[in-house]
Amino acid sequence: MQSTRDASSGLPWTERIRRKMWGSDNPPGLKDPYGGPGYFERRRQEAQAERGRGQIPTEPTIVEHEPALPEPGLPEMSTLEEESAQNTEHSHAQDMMRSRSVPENDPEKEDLTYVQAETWNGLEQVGLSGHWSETPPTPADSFRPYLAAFEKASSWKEILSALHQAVVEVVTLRDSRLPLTYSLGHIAYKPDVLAALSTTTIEFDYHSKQIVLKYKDGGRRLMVEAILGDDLQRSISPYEPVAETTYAEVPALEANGDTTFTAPDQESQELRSQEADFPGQDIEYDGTHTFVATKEEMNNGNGDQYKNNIEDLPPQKRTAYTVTSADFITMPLEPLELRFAVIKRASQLTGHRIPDPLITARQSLSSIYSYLGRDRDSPPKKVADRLLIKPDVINLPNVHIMPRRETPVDKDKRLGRWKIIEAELHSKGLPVLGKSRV
Amino acid sequence: MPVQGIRTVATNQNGLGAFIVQCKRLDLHYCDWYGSSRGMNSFLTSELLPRLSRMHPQVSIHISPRPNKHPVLRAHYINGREKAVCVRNLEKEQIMQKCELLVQSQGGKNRKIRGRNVLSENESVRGIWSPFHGGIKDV
Amino acid sequence: MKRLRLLRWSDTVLSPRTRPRTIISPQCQCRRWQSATHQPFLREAHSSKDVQGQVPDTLSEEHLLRLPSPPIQAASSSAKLAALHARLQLPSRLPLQVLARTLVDPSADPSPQFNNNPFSILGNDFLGYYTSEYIICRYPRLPLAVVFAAMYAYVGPKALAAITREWGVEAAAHPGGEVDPGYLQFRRVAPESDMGSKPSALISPMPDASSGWKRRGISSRTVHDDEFGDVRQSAKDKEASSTAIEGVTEEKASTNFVRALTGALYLHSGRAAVKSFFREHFMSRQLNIASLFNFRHPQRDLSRLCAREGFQSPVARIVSETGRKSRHPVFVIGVFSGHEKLGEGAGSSLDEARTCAAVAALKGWYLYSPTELRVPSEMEEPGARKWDRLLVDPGDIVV
Repeated sequence: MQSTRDASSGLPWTERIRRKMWGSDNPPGLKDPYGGPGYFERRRQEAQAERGRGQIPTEPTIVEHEPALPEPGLPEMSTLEEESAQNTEHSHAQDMMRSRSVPENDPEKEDLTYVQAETWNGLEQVGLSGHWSETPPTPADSFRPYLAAFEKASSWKEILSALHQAVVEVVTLRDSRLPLTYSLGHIAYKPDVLAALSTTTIEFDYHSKQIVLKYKDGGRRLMVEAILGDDLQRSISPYEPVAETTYAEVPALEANGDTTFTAPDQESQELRSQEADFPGQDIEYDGTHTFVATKEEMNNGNGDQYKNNIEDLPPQKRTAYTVTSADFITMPLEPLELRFAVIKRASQLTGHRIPDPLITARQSLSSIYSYLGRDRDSPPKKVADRLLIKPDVINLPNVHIMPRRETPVDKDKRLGRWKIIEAELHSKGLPVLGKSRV
Repeated sequence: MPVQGIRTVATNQNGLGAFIVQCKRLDLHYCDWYGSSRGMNSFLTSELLPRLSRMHPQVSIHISPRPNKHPVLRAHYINGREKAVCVRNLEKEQIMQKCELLVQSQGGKNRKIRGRNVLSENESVRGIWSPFHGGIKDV
Repeated sequence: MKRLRLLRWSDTVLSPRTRPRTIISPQCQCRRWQSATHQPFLREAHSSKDVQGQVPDTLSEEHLLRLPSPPIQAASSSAKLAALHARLQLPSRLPLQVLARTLVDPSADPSPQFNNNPFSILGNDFLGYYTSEYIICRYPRLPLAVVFAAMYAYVGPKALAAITREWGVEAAAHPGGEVDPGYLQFRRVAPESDMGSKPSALISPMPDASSGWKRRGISSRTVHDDEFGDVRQSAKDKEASSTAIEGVTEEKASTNFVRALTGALYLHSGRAAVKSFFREHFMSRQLNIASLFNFRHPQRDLSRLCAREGFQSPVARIVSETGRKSRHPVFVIGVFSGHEKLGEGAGSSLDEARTCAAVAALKGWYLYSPTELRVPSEMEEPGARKWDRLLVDPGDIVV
């Protein structure tokens, strides 16, 4: 039921409803619930204000909020009446409509710098043309998964050798006063280094209550060389994000022909400052020095940042060796940082994700060891795997077991038809399986 | 012109000479995840499968997973027809019964045997009655 | 008949790799999965290294695609092949690899060491020998045209193709190394290729117009033509046809397979196995020989036959009749030679009845079968009785 008085006021029906809901002619709330005029509107208004010509006489200022709800019977009624009078005459909707209109018919109001474009040359482009998947990858697109390199270790031998390798590497880092957060990545050990690694024994020193490594002759040197190695087999650690190379450190290392591996100045300062507590205990990762660039990368300069993406790396082969004694599993690894580094390295090497509670649960690696081998002795879960182990099923001459779902392509291959289909599709340029990306 | 010969093909009666088992292939499909396939999975991993295979060496048994579907037995016969039996929620002994049913069947549609049917290629020993023989006309 | 010293010259047929071998070897640990890409979960005892050591590189898919027929190792891992072996109840002395070889047609693999051609030549001889002696010894007076028809019905190409289907042998779409060895592999004829004329439905004793004076009668076909009375392709014709048409029909491939299986069975399991195989799968098939006759002029043939055999000339007499002037008369006419009735026939007209009677008389003569069936190949078996001579008809009637 609308009175003719409201109809003649020229208010939009939204405003009318709003007033009816609140029961007054000046309801509270945002004058413009959509936050006022838009960006272009405001810019135009500002430009016009600057020009200071041809202003709309009753153009209201941009009011974010309306005045508060009027108390009954207050002297503010007069001001409210004025405002309501203003509002009734020039509602915000009308203003919006008016201000939105382009004053085409008024050449003086036009922006002199504004030239209407007929083509899109030179215009600022927003968004991508084409499919986002066709844009070349940026550094931000490179993804280095944490555990992508290796297949999961499945046998006790692999697990034990991974743990042994982890302990040896991390304790070597500690002894060489390198930070425990030093990214080891994938190190393809040469046979002599591997021999040294496998023959290194891990012992527990009861006086200092630390893990101590007993290398064979020259083993320590080979190990540290391999970890910090300069040879071509070494790749960038795929497990750490690529930071910018700080070539300043590299000459320092190169010039230093010392085999005792004094760390660059930055690091050594940090280390010396905290050596009193425990070497490598509270190293802060400042993010500037994450790896040592090889000579090749140095020569390349800024080169390909994505050269050593995980996808380009050849599939890593785990080098598992026979560990002589498994006593180190029960040795306590203190402090927590050392244990964490060992477990992290073990996780990298075995390819298993080790849950966090296991890190602090025990001081030794025994819980990690049993966790890594938890599936080793359990029977396989898939029926096909269980069947393919049973000799009395495999040796049945008229039984054929397929581990995966049989598809029509399998039947075609059995009949010898598939190669012909494939050849025909190739000759016609059609996709063989699935859809082609056009 | 003397007698000519007509080219035909001699017909076979299965079992008269050699008996050829009509079921030539049995597909066993299971699912690793579906609960309805538990019976089928236990059938496959139990000793019932080797027993089935040994009892019927003429049937080639193919085992393959069919993920996210009910377990199914599919038998292929020499006449080109197939018979499929869904074995969802059955126990392994029941599945064995279904396998036996399929293997011992022929490819044709299931037919009810009515009466005492005698099918033979041989002529009757005493001959079919004829009105023109036997001297009936001599009344 | 002199025993064929087949073992002496069977080296060319038996290649060294197909020495008899038991089908199931307990030591065989070969894994049977179809795709080489999937490696299932393996225990430490059967680590992936061991498996890779057992599966040689020759079974990679690229290598298989290059082979014209499946490799030998594939035969032991094919469930289909093992099932076929058991379905036919073949003796265990016949290895799976040989059965796999019998399924490979020469059009699929031209090498005679890997296809079934050597086996099929031998098997064809055996099948023809056993079938022909069975037919002739069972019906010694059968005319040659009907003998050929009976041979065709038992071991002709159509019959062997039907046998292959009844055995549950399927044909592969295209030959290759990746094909399952249990399939019949052959190269198919391209569609719309000229296969030449089909064999006629009737085996006629009349000679061809083009054959000349040498081929006057049907008896010469036993010498010059094949076991079904059809003209053999000369070597030139064979070459010309093979270059023109690449591939064989499924019927031809099935024929080759069955013959090859027979031959391989003989070589690996001996004569007794082949004989029982023939008896079970071929001889047990039902054929009504009486339905193979097609007479043109039975009365003339009968009178010539009686003249040859020295009987009195045949006379047709009404034995009984009814309804002569009605719509459905029945005349029963007997053909008599003197006082002996040779045959009887019933018909709606006198001529029809007389023809029927002559046909019955001729069939009665031709389908004579001795009470005791003895075949010459019995004598090859140990402890055979002394051979009693069998009188076979002197030949067809000359009309």
